[in-house]
Amino acid sequence: MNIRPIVTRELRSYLTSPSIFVAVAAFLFLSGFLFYGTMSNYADLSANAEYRRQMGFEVLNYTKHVVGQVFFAINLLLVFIIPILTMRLIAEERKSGTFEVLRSLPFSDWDIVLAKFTACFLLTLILVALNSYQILVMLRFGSTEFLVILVATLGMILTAAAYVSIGLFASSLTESQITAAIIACVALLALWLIGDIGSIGSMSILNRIAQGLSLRIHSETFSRGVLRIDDVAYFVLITYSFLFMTVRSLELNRNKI
Amino acid sequence: MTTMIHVENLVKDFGDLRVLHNLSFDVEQGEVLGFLGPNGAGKTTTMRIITCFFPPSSGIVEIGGFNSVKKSHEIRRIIGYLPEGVPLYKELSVELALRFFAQSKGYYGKNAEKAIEEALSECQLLDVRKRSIGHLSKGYRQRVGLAQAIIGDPKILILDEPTVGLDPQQIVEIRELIKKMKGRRTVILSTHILPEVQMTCSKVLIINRGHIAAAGTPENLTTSHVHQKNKFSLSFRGTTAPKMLNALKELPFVSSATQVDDSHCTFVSTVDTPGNDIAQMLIKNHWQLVELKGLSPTLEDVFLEVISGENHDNLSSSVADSPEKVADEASSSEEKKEESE
Repeated sequence: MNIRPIVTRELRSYLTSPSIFVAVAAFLFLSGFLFYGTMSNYADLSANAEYRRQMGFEVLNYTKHVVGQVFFAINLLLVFIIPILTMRLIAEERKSGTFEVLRSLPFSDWDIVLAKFTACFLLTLILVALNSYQILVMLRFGSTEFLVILVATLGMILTAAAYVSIGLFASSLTESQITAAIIACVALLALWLIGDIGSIGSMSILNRIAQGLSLRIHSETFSRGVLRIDDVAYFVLITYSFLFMTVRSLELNRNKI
Repeated sequence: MTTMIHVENLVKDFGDLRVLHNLSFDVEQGEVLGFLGPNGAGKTTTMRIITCFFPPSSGIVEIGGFNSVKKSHEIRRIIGYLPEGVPLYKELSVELALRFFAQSKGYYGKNAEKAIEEALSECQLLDVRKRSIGHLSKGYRQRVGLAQAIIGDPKILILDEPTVGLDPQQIVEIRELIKKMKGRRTVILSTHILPEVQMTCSKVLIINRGHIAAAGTPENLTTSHVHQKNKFSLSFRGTTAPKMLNALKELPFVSSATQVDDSHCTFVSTVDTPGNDIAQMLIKNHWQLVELKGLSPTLEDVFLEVISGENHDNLSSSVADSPEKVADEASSSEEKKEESE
């Protein structure tokens, strides 16, 4: 397997794309803004802790009200940011014709898909690393264990991998980058919200299936610092399934290009 | 000689539409094959099958001894491909783009640098190596496309219309580059520019509606395929071109005559030496002869004859079946072809 040239080229392309810089800047600004809001809200609530205790309100929990909220916000923001990173991966190559050249080189479809996934995933990790000051602030000024943060971060990375694979699949379906981004965004939002179907329906089996498929429910477990094998398996399975479907999509689209 | 490209009974279907019908041909090592045909004839489809972009529906394609279905990975290591329109990664510099292609073909470190230098030098790109491809002129981009195709010294080159959209000087430069490859590499060159084929190719394949319409060396094709081999050019004084055309058409050995300008016609004769009869006709009418010379047939004549002949045959046989049905089929088939191409 020789994926290095494609990974390097994709990362170079990201670094020369203004829209990627705008997306990264928007993510960092919004994430910082939400982080500030969460911390400041917690500080206000802490100031009234005695009053809340006397009135019988929920006892403040730093892991739940800060760590959980911060990672929830990041995971939700990534639903909108990652489609911008993935939209060009295959759609642009098909539109510009470079995909035909790529296919004439000694790469298999899996090489191409894995290379593009790796490049975008690495960029997402850089994005997450740029946001890591929030982790340092939470550890320095809060009462939470390092292991909780570690599990929540692992959950965020697994969630991002699933998002990237879904975005990559969307990019393989069309030559239009905008259409690819919309498909990815709608699919991610649908998988994010599907767990809430239980609040409007009453069929228990449907509820269970919907909750089993929900990105939000599985990622929230990590955000609380809980590491469960079924959540890990869920994200690994989602990532692999969409990568597999991307490879199939390339095979099926061969005769259309 | 070793056969580098062997195509046998190649068929390609896109859904219900058959684009290639039992194509068979061989290309020997070091040959430059000119691939000719009108738009939608199946040239690009054939090239895409040879480059393993998609598999054939049936038939055998062997490149460098490797089967295109079973050993596509090995084939991609020994071919260089320049698709129509020269798609390139415009955000990269020339050198970075070539490094990507070198590494993709398995060249790293010093081997990659050597391959890049050779490609830059062969395509005369050394002075623009650091420039972004997006900022290069069309001629330079075309050269970058050729450089990416020849990097790593592939045994086989597939070039799909490499001179489209270039100015005359750039066309000559690219043509010279291709000519230099003759003997060293096996090349398939698809083009609409027929003199280009005559100048660069050792073998020609004319394809029409997915069938091979004619094949051979340019010399063989021009001598054996053209019925109009007794074509003459006649320059005259003392009359008008329409009158001369009428006079020519009355001669029993003239099968067709065409006006070129006011004092110049061409005609096709059924006899090899019409000089005496033409001279008598001119004397009889009191007209003056300026020049009478034989025209050697060009590849363009062959191409037009083969294509128009085939299309006419197809149309005649189809019209005999049902005119309305054929018209419908032709239009839907063209639409489908445009989509698939």
